[in-house]
Order: sequence, then C-alpha cells, then structure tokens
Amino acid sequence: MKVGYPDQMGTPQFKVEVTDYSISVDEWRRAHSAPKGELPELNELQRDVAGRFGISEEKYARSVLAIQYAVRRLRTRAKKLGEEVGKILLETCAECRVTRVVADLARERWIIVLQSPNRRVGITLSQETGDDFLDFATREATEELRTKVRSGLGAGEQGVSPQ
Amino acid sequence: MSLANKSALFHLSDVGKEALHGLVPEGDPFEAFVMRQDEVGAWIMAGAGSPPRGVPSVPVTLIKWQYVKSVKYDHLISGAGSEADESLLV
Repeated sequence: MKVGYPDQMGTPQFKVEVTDYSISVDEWRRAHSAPKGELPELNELQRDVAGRFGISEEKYARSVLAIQYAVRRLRTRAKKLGEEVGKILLETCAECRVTRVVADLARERWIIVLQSPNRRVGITLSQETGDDFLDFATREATEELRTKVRSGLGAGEQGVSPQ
Repeated sequence: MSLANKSALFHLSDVGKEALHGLVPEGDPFEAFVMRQDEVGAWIMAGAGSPPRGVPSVPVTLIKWQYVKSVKYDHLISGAGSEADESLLV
C-alpha cells in the first residue's frame, strides 16, 4: 500500500485532492500564450459543448489548460501543507502520519487527515489560515495549525500522545 | 458556487448585448476571465486575450446579472479519477 507510508527515502506520502480551482491571472495569461502543441485534447463532452456554444476547440482547450495549471498549483500547495504538518507530527506524535490533504476550495478550507496508531482524524483549516501559513508562515497561522494538529490527535491540553 | 478566478462563457440577453456592445469581448457567447462576482454581477477582465507579463494592473468590467442569459464554466468533479491517478499520491 502506497498511501500514507514513508518511502525508502523518508519522503512522506499521502493522498492529495482538489475540490475546486482558482485560476490566477498569470495562469490565464500562460494558457492563452501556450503553443498549440501544449494544449490538452478535449474530451467528447467538451467538444460537444464547444460546438453547441460556437466556440473554437482551441479556445476551449486554452481554458482547460488554465484549469490544469491551477489544479497543479493547488496540488503542490496541498503537498507542501501536508509535509509541514508531517514536521509538526514529528515533534508531537512520531507514530502518527498524514494520510490525506484536501484543498477543499469549494468550502474555502483545507482538510488534513491524520492517522494515529489507533484513530483517524481530520482537521480543518480555513483557506485563509492555510494560505497565510503557506505564503507567509505567519505566527498566528502556524500556531493555529499546531494547535489543531495537537488537539485533533487528543494531545492538546493533556500534552500526551494518543495510545 | 463561485465564478471568481474562473474562465466562463457569457451569453447575454438581447438587452445586455445592446447595453454592453463594444464593452465586452466580441462573440456570442464570449469568453472572459472572472475576477470577482457579487450580487450585482460578474467582474471580468476586460479586453480580448490576456494581459502581457509584468503589467501591474488589469482593467475590469462589470457584467450585471440582469444582462446575462446564461453562463457556462467547467466544474471540477471532486475526486474524479483520483483513485486511479497515481500522480495524486505524493
């Protein structure tokens, strides 16, 4: 089983999911200036929609490419967040691990699923706090994340590792 | 559901086409990048194409909902393909 276990290089492995996307202006610009050869192939549904709406398949493909850029960036950010939580776990609960990180933009939040030896728990972080943590490592965001990880694993006020 | 930071196709009403003639990208429907949306309408990046690299700001135009007949955008299906996609395992 691959999910959630460190590989031989010690790299944490967990599942990453993205529920929605948010294209940046730069991604939009890159998609619209990308060579035709880099455009994704439209699926049957997309080709059908392009035809019904009377837009060129190339134009549609460029919007799909922009989405791909955005989802790729969000996956990278989710991976980074999971890795940072993994570092917190090393200090808090060495036998615990991150199994899943969800960039749940549809609900403006991040979800990090943790697995301890005897329980699985998901913690949520607002999108704003997660972004503050990833982009600026603000003290407030870092502390909130640490607190949620500790309390989520039941190590909060008691300061003990879950059995 | 939010259209913010998404590419969308706007199909205007006849009144909308007349009111916004020359102010929105050509075409019916026309494609636009939505910067924001609120109860009044969608705020789109004005002009055709995309801004050149390094520009400090972009012009934005409001498309009032009252002028819109329909909007199409691509919705991400949560988890679609994720179970089979090994690239999702990091």
